Amino acid sequence: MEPLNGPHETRLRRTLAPAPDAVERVVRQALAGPRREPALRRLLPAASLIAVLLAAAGLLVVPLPDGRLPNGRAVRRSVASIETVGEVLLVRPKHGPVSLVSSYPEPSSPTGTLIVIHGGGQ
Amino acid sequence: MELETVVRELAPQLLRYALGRTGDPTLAEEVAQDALAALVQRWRRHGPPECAAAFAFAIARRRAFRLTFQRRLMAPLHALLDGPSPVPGPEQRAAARIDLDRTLAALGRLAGKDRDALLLVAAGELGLSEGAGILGISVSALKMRVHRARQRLARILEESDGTAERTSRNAAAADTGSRS
Repeated sequence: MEPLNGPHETRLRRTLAPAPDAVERVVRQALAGPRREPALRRLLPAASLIAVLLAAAGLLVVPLPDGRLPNGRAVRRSVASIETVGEVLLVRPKHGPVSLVSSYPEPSSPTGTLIVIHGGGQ
Repeated sequence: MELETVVRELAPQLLRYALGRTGDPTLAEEVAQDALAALVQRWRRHGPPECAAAFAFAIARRRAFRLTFQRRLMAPLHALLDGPSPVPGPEQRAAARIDLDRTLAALGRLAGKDRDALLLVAAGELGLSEGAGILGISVSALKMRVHRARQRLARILEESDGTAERTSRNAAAADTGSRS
């Protein structure tokens, strides 16, 4: 490679050359030690980011006053827990009695199939 | 070698490099000062690094990138809050400033990687092996980038000088014509 002292490199160094007082200022401040920004100022960008993310997450998760999620879906809460213990199916209502099979006709009776397994038979 | 001597030697080189990278004397001072402060801190705590220049320039390079990025990001906000920047006065159009502006504009037209290579080696006066180490490339790749950058810079500056000369000639001719 050609030596870097051609007219354009010389011009580059000359035009970018700093003022003597700027050099002196930089040297003095560097030797005086690193600058300490206030803790609050250093943490401000991270704190703002966290606040924005939390607000966005809150908007997506917290249901609206009418009981619907922001994406339009209704919040579904379970009314009973179902578990199997050996060959026994246990249904435990969470809030008061729950009717699994209605014994009387309802205006809008649910449709579906209920399979009860007992001792291997159906 | 003494710490203060090293800092004094590196300061103008770092300032030149940072001004070429950021195009702003205030940001350049900030970059150079941060790099030198990191060097001073390292030196006092753990002794001098293997190559003080490489250490300081590596930090200056990262800092210049971050500050330039931040400035671009915040530019619309500053423009909104502070209004348009004031029109530079006649003092600011002094010959030295025009030359600096022209050089910075020419540097801005180089490819980013080529510009960085040229600034490290030509403006920062860093050795080829140190420059290659900082950029994470081989010495031959650095030579190639510097060569390409020099050629393009020379062409841009010659074009720019020619245009400026024509403009000043035309202005002088127009001035003479209006007086006569």
